[in-house]
Amino acid sequence: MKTKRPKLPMPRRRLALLWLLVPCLLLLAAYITDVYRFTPDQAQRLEEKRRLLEPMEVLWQGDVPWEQEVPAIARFTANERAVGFSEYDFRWRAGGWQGFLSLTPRENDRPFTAGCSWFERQLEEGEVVSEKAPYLWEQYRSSLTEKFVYVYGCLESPEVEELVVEFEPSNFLLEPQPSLTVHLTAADWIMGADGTAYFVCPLEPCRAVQSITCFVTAYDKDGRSLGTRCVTGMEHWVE
Amino acid sequence: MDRRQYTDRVLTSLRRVTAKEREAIRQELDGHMEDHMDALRELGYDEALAEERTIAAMGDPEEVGRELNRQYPSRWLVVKWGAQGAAVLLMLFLLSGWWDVLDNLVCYARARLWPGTFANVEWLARETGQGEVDVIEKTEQRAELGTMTVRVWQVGLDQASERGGTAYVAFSCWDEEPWAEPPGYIEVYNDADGAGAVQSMGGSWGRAYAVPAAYGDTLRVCWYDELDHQYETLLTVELPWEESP
Repeated sequence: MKTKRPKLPMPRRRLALLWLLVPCLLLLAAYITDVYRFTPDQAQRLEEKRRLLEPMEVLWQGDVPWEQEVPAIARFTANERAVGFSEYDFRWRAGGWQGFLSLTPRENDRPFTAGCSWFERQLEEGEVVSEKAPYLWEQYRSSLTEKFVYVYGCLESPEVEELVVEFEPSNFLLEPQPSLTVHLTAADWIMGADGTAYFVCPLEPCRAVQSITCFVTAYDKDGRSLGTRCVTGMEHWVE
Repeated sequence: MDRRQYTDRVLTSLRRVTAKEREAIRQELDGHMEDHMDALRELGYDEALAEERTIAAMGDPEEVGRELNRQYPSRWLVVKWGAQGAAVLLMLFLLSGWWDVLDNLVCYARARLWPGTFANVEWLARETGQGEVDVIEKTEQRAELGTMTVRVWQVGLDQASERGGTAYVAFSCWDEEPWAEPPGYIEVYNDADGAGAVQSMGGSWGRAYAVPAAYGDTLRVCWYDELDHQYETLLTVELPWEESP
């Protein structure tokens, strides 16, 4: 009669592979339950959900325009009701990708929808070159920034052939900077999945300005103005 | 050399095996030799000779040890320890998040099954010094808002007359994902004059509101649409007027 033997322990390889599954399953559970945001898409989905928005299509994505301590991206997104400009950065201890989303409601009865957002980088003390530097640093520290402005939106009317973005910084704390005019034409449109034409216009950065004004004007193929919108401050259509 | 000494010599030549594996190997060797000896005993061998032949048949203990060492490569042991460490670190790192998930799962069950544990009409009236409410009724009205469900489950009326009284409404909210907190913020208004709530209690999972109301009024359960910049009506709640004093 054979001796009844105790069950052999699981082979090392199988045991190791099973244990490797545990962290994988933990990561999967963290992803599903949104405990940790592994991708900007996941962060965007959560932000949309938090604000009760329909899913937004990503139309443009770029790096945040200066070197940051953490990975960061800017995104232009849109759906049928709004266009949005967002920034997501990765902070591993805070739960992955974190972001904010600024929204501009779509204006279907107008020739276009446009919004304006910017990133601000605090200037270093050495970058403030002026006779009044110590005074400025003391009094206007929060305004001593470099602004990276983005104008974005979509065309609501097929008549629009060209958009002109006029950007005027003012109240300079350091050296004055010129106004900018940018012309956007069909070559600059970003086509969405539904055939809508979108645009994103990154402007030249401006330093240490206390106010900015930006107008967007649409023109048809004959060069007639279809409408002008001020996209900074109290946003409005210029009648 | 007896069986025990043979096994000890095999085990001595084993490296990189855990205590559990060592014990399993010992039992395996013992069992194997026992089977062999049983077979020899059945053939008429005495105990001492059976043991001697069995040990001889097992071979050189050092060679058996070397062979067993090959069966237990250390790389998989390292992989297992690494995976165990990673699992523990991940658990600790995500602990606060898991705690929120657990809390949300409990709140989800409460919102669906026991909404009154977040806020209810009696509780709100007591908290705000109104005392007893004249009429309280259970109701069942639901609306969907994105991934969120809003369920109005209780209404009430107090000192209701044409000159005005107080209407109460209690509701609970939950997301389609049970581990997620419901996203929207819900408000309640009087449908007739747009008057807002004068008292409220609760949180994102369940709230109760007290709203000024006159005879025949209904209440609107709304959320603020930040794109349209206006309140959107989710539900119109009928109040139990016919049973009011």
